[in-house]
This record gives sequence, C-alpha cells and structure tokens, in this order.
Amino acid sequence: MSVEKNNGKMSGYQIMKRLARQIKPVSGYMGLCITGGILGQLTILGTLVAGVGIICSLAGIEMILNTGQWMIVLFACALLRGPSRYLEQYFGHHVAYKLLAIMRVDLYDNLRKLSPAKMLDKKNGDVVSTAISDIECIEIFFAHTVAPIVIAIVITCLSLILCAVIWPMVALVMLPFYVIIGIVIPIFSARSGRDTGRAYRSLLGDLKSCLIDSLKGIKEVIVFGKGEQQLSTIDKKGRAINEVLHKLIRHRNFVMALPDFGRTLSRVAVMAICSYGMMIGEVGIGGAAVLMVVLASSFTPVIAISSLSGSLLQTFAAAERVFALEDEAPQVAEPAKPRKIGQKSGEICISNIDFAYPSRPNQIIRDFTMEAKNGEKIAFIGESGSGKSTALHLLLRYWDPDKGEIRVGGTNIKDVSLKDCRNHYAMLSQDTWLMNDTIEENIKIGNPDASHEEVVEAAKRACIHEFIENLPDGYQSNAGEMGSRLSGGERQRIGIARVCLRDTPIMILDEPTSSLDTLNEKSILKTLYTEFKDRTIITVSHRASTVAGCDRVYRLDTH
Amino acid sequence: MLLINRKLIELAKPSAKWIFAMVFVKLALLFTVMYIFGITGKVQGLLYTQELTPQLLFNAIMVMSLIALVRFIGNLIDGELAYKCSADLRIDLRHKIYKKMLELGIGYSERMGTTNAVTASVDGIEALETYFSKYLPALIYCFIAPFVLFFRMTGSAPEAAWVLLVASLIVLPINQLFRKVVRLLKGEYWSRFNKLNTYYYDSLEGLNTFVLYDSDEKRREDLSKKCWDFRDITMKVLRLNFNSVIISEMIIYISSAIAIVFISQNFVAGGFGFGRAIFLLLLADTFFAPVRDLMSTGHSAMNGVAAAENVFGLLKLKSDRENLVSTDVQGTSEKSGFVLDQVGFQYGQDRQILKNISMKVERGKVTAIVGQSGCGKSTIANLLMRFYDANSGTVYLDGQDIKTQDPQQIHKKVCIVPQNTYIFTGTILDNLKMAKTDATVEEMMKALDMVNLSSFVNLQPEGLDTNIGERGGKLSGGQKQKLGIARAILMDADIYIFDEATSNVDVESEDDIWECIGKLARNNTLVVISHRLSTIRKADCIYVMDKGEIKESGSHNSLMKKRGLYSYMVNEQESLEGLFEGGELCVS
Repeated sequence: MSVEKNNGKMSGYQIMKRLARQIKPVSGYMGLCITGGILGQLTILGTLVAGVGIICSLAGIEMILNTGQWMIVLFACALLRGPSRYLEQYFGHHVAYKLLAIMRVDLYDNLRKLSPAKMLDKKNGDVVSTAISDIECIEIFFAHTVAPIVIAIVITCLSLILCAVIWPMVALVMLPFYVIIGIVIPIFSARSGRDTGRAYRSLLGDLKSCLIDSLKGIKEVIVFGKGEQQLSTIDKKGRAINEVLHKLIRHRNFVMALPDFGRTLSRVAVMAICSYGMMIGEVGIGGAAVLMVVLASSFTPVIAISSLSGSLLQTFAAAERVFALEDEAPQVAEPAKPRKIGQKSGEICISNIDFAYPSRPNQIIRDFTMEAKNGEKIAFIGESGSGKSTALHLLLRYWDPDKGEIRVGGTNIKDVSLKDCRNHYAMLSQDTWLMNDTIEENIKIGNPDASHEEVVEAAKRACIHEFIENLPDGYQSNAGEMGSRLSGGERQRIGIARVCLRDTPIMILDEPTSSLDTLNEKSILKTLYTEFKDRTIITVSHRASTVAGCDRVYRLDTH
Repeated sequence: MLLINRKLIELAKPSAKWIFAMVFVKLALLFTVMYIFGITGKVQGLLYTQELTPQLLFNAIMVMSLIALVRFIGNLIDGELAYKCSADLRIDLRHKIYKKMLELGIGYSERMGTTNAVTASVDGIEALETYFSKYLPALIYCFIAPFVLFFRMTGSAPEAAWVLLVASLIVLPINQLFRKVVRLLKGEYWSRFNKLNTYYYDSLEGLNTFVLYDSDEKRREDLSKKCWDFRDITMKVLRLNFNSVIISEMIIYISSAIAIVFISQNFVAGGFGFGRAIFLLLLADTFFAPVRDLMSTGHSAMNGVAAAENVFGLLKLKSDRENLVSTDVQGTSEKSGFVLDQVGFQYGQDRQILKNISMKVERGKVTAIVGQSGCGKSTIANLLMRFYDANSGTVYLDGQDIKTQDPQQIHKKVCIVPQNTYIFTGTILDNLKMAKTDATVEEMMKALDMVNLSSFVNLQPEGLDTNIGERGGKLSGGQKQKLGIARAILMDADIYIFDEATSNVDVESEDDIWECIGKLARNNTLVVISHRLSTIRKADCIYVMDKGEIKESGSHNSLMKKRGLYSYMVNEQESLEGLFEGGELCVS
C-alpha cells in the first residue's frame, strides 16, 4: 500500500479512495443498499408526481395517465417506500459494521508487528481511542456516504432528464444548483473544517490518556491531595474540547444552512423559469406544476451529501489517525528468505555490537562481545542505565544493533523470521503483566496449549501453587481484578510459571528474583539451575545470590 | 424507537431554555416553509388561470429570496443554540465522575474498571451532545409541529388534516413498541462496547508479553471475536430500529397517500382552486418531516443513551468508608503516632487477610514490618493510609480513631511510597509538582539529591523538563522509584510508609534508596515494610508477620535471641547468599 505521507495529513479525496478500496469484498451488499436507496428516493418523488398528476388530471389537464392510474402509482409508491428504505439502511449498516470489525482486527495485526519498539512512544489510551472510537466514526463513511453519493448522482441525472423532457431550458437553469449544492459546497466545507475535525479527535484521545493516567495513578493523586488539581485539569481539557466542538457545530450548521439556502433559491429559479416558459408557451401547466412541486424534493439526496460533509470532518480525521497507525513500519524488518536456527540452538554469540536508541544521542552499548554454549548460565550485571536490559532486547530483536552481529545456533538472527527468533526464547521481563482473565489463563500465555496439569506443575516450580490454591477460586481466580492486590512477588512468580511452561533452548531472565523473599528466591533458583540444566540461561540481576550460581558474569558499563 | 430517558431529561433541566429556544427556531423555520408553499401555490393558481403578470412574479421572487435569507440565518442560530445545550453539562458530568472515583479511592477499579470509566466519561459523555442538542429539541418539536400544520390545513381539507394529524400522533407511540431497543442499548450494547474497549486496551498493554510468548495469534483471535460480538449486537439494535423505521414509514406514506386522495376529492367538489390544491399537496408532503427528522437523529443519539445509564450507575456507587463524627476527646495536638488495636480486615467476602493485629508506630522511631509475601504487610499500610477501613478493631492516629479523620487530612501527615510508585505521563517537573505545586527548583533538586537522582537530571539536556514518556516509560525501574521517593520527600510529611519500596529496583538504586531512608529516619517517623531482612536490622521495633497475624516483635537483637520465625528467616537468607559459587567475571 502506498504511504501517502504529508505529516500524516491526507486529502479528503485520498482518504475516501482508500476507504472505498475496503468496500470491494462486500460490494454486492453495497449494491443492494444503493438499489434500495434509489428506489426509496424514487418513491418519494413518485408520491409527489402522482399527487400532482391526480390534481392535474382532475382539473382537466392532459397528464399521460388518467386519475385512476395516478392513484395506483401513488399507493404503489407509498407501499414500496418502507421496504426500500429498510433495504438501504440494513445493507448499508451491514456493510459498515462488518468493515469496522475487520478494520479493528487489521489494526491490531499491524500493532503486533510494531511491538515492542514502536509501541514505546505511544500512549495506549490514545491507541485504543483510535481502534474503537475513531474506527466507529468511519461508520459514517461506509453507511452514510458511499450510497448517498451514488443515489444523489442517479437521482440528479433522472431529475435533469425530467426537466429536459419538459423544457431543456429548465435543465440548464437547474444544473448549476445541483453542481453547487452537490459538489462545490461539500468540497468547500470538507476543506474548510479539516483542522477543526482533526483537533477534536486528537483532543478526545488526549483526554482519554489524561483520564487513564489520573485513574491508574489515583493512589498518588489521593496521597498528595491533588484531587482538586486533577479535577481542574480535566475541566480545562473539557473546556478545550468544547471550544473546538463549538467551532465544529458552527461549521456543521453553516454547511447545512448553505444547501438549504440553495434549495430555497432553486425553488425561486424553477418558479421563474416555469412561469416564463408558460408565458412564451414552451411549458404546459401540468409540466410546470410537476417541476415546481417535485424539483425541490429531488435535492434531498444532494443535500444529504452536503450535510454529511460536516460529520465527514470527524470521519476524515478519525480515518487519518487509523491510517497513520496502519502505515507505520515496524522497527525491524522480516528477512526476505528466512532461515532456520542451526543445530546447537542454545548457542549464543554476540560479537562487537554497538547500539544507540534511535531517538537518543548517547550510545548505550559499545563494542560488546559475549558467548554462551549450550546449557551455560550467564549473568549480565552493571549499573542502571548501563544497557543490561537493552542487550537482552537486542537478543530478542526488538531492535537491530548498529554494528556487529548476533548469532544464535550459528545463524545471524537477522536471517531468521521474527516469529522463529522469539519462539527460541522464554523471556521473563522485569514487570509481569497480567491480563484480565483467570490465573490459569495468565500462566497459559507461556503456552496456550498447556494442560491444567502442566500449568499446576509450572506453578509449583515457580513456588506460587500454594498461594493460588489458597485463593477462593483457586486457578480460576481473576488475576486482572486482583491486579492491585497481588504483590510484586506474586506477580513475578506467575511470570516465572509462564516461563517454565515454555519449552525453548534459551531462557532470558530480566531481574527474575527482584521482588521475591528469601525462601522463594532459594527454591526458584534451585529449580532454574537444576531442572533447566540443559538450557542456556541469561540472567540480568543485581543480587549476588542470583548471579552467584552462574558460569560467567559480564559487566556492562555506562558510556 | 423513542429514546426517552427520564434521568437524562432531568439532567437537561439547566439547558431547558436552550432546548426550547431551538424548538422555537424550528417552529419559525416551519412557518417560512409554509410561506414558501403558499407562494408556490398562489403562483400555480395564477398560472392555471393565466392571470400571472410579470410584476406579480417579480414580487413572488423577491419575497421568496428574502425568506431564503431568513432561513439561512435561522439555521445558523440553531447551531449556536445546539452548542449551548450540552456545553456546560458535559464538563459537569465528567467532573462528577472523576470526583466519584476520588471518593471511592484506590478500590475504584474493582467496582468499575479503568477503561470503563474512561469510555463513559469521554465517548459516552461526548455522545450525549447529539442527544441534548439534536434529539431532545427534535422530540419536542415533533409534538408541536403537527398541530401547527393541522390548523393550517383543516380549513380547506379537514379530512386530510385529520388523517395526517392522527397518523403523526400514532407514529410516535407505535415507536414505543420498540422500546426494547433502549433496554438493549443500556444493557448488552453498552456492555459489549465496554468489553471491546477494555479488551483492546488489555491487548495493547500486554502486547509485548503476547508477542514474546507467541500468544499474540490466539489473542488476536479472541479480540477478533469481541469485535464481531460488538458488531452483532450493534446490528441487533439497528435491526430493531429499522423495523420501527419501516413501520413508521409505512404509516407515514400510506396516510400521506390517503390525505392526497382526500385533497383531490375536496378539489373536485370545488372546495378550492388549483393553486390551493398544490399548496395542500406540499403541506401533506412536509407534514411528517419532523417525525422523519427525529428518527434520523435517533441513530446518532443511541450511543449517548447507552452511555448515560453507565454514567448514572457510576455516579450512584457509594464509598465503603464511612466517616464517623469527630469526637476530639484527646485533642488533635497529640503526637502519639499510630496505634492498632485488635484490627481485623478482609476484602469483601474474601479470605481474612488480617487477624487481631495490635501494634504501635511511635513518633520519631523506625518501625519495620516483615514477613513472607502474602502475609498482609501491605494491607496494614493500606489501613494506615485509610485507603480501606478495618472490619473490626480500631486504628488510631495521634490518639484519634482514624475513621473520624478526613482522609485528606491524614494524607497531609502521612505519605506512602508503594512498591511500584506511579509515575505520571509528562515531565520530571510535572511529577514532582504533584507533591508540592509551588515547589522551587532548589527544593526539587534537593529532593532529587536525597535519592541520588540529581546528577541524572542535570545530565539531561532539558533537565527537570525532560519528558519521561507514558508512565515514566523512558526511565528504568530504579529511576522511576527514586523519582517517586523524591516526590514523596517534597510532600514533607510527618510519617512515611515505605511499602516494599526497593523490591523492584536494581542494586545501586536499592543502595541509594536505603541511604535516603536512613537520612529520613533522623527527623521523621518511618514505617518500613520489607521482606529483605538485612535492610531493617536497625529498626527500633520489628513486627514479624505470618498469615495475617503478628508472630513476634522487638528489636533485631532480641528477636535473634528468641530463635523464632525471625531468626530462622535471617539464617535462611544468609545461607542463600552463599549458596552458589561465583563464576568467572568478564568485563565488557
């Protein structure tokens, strides 16, 4: 997909083109929706035409059909109106919500590729806002924009043909009205309000991040007595949103008032041209009556487009935010022809690597070399900020080193697919993240196919089995809800249980015992160093007791 | 469906004047429409009788152009009023929600998830805009407009006028047959919307974990299911809504057709001329515009109504903590620290976490609480901060039952440093100012110096204004914790509680923090909770806990002499430190 980048800003046309591409697989349903829409508009016009037809034929004016036939047309239109509208609405929304669901999942797929390096700078609250609320906004495009545009074009053409049949001059006079209301005003209004729409969507995302921060940190807010201050921050953000919303509503009403103004003027124009036509004998009274009554209603779909352009502002801004995330490229590239990791897969060889974070000036790792044979226990030590964790992250290929190479089992990890590379390790990170699910499911993140027995076995190894058993619901207790009540040590041991479930040649442990008390530390270390004898283990730790059992210790220095 | 919600309407009271002003503008616009139709009909009549003169036509054109201008202005006024309808209201609601969260305290997340609260107060409340500024005015207008049109028609075409009036009065109640939609919206729709939000948020928070453990594929599948679930419920609600639309449209168009037949009958009977017949036809066509308007607004107002129930539910939650009336017998000037008298505690219906705890935290001294994880150490800290109230027994602070003291007042005296201090998104300065809004740069640097973080800050090109990312993501665990402690120092509290403050940090940071705690101990009262026994040896009094009870207490030396749980734990730790032989040290 071409990356249309200009500060992430895209023209309305580019956005619509890109969104329209998504419709392709469901174009059949879209066709049904459009058919229903056109039929619906025709019934509205038909009702009016039939009404004029009945009155005119009763007044003795020649109207093609007789009174009885016009009656049939009238009731046929009245009966068809409901079903055709249902058709339009149902399939329009059917398509829209289907596409929204697909977009949400697709977005997550791309975020998976961005993780973790590119996700560090993003606020999760903001991203969720994009994935749910912004995508929800796009509904306006799928359900309320695409079909109306087609319907408007068809109805406009039919109306102009009707005019031309009665007197071509009328068509000529009406054409500018359709062009101005249907094309010029929507384009003008979409252009003029883009920044306001953008500002509104981004302020909403910002407010969400702010609220998440204020809620997750509520303990600190309360302890420091800053509740009032946070409240006034929230109020301030609310007022900023209101200011933009005010502009947005003003714009919305302006672009809705304009076409209404145009429509009323078009009534004047039709009245004038028809009267003139009758005076010079070009138009009959029947034709004049039909045009004067019906033409104003034929603007309905065209006006729908104009009034949409207001809501489309938000949709465009929302779509832009979605596309920006969809288009972001991952930090590390997948190899074109992935290779498999070689035989002695527990072997690690890091040679002369340099690394600096893309956005930061200082080089965090300089000329680092390290080697581990199958089954060796290695430790990295060093001050905070010396790059211990960074070295682990390079091994996991979060980033690529600027210089030097990393080989695992003899294969450069750049040549291995990211999935294979990461499946080669069992990684315990500093903070164990728990999802809002049962403890069992949380442990099973390590291996989704594990049986209950295997989970229990892993929990025993991590010295957390007894604790879990003592919970009211045992392994089925919800860990997310209890997140705030589980201590750091308990979380860490759940993390260790996860690692134990994974059968990989290499284990990477980032501060594995930092929040464990002495008794647990002791038994877990024993497990790690004896039961996983044949696995290569790399540990980052500051504890003498944890590092002491290792075969080799590497010290990293701050540069 | 009609989206009528009593609580929402009550909420709209302060905006009533704006809403009614909007209805008024709408009615004015209706009169302009009738005027336009009147002129169109007149011109038609004159054309029919061939009496139209260029002068009359010119007059008609001028008047209609003027009306077009009036309508244009009316529509602009409508927008201004629309904004006013919900502006203050939405800010006020959001304010109330966060205030409620503060009242609920740290337990809020168990009553109402974070994402839930955020979705309600952002998406939900913004969605109310449509309800207040579009839906409510349209609803009221819907009950007035038909009568106006009825009186305009009834003179010449009474039968048609009656048909249309009755139909438009029936359409609204018939829509009420579909009020199930509203129930669905409040219940299932919103709950699935919420679930999707929470799940997506969770999936992002844990994305790194999922990717590392190759579980992201499975998570994606589950997420996908949630997306489709939400889609299904949306369609279910919409289908019901469309059913109501189809029935309304049938009633509207069939009654319009019948009215047209009546009009043509009156016309044939000679009740009025050709021009008036056209005028009546146009009126009949526009009769239902208000109802159709209301129905088309319904879809966009849906989210607001769905969210509203949630917002109200949230505002109804009550705090567990009840403030007792201050007895103030001994006077607040007493500085006796904390006394716990036979305190018991459990979260809700869970297992008993604390049993019969009695302890003293004396002013000017260092009190330590030790024990294995899960023994209830941190719960005691939560009780001291009055984050929760004890189920039995009493906690006294400076001689007074803590329940008679306002948590805000307690927090001015007592400050806690938890295991994972929360760092706010923003700069170092923002975080420090949380504790003391008017802190000077010197004060802040002094506090940072206490935890040996000042040199780091000085190294940053932007110093105190360095942005530290979402939740301090750009800092290491140790740096975050040290910043949190510097922040707590700025608070200048009398009593500090360190709840496992060093358990998640590297060894250098741990040293810095313990050094800082040592300095603080000279002038402050400290409660130190730790499972690292070597760190609290110098405490004046050590309480040893096990399974929610205090097993032993005393100084390090006296406890070691007892040869009880404490001395067993100390020996375990010491033997562990020497368990493994050191490896070869390679210097990079």
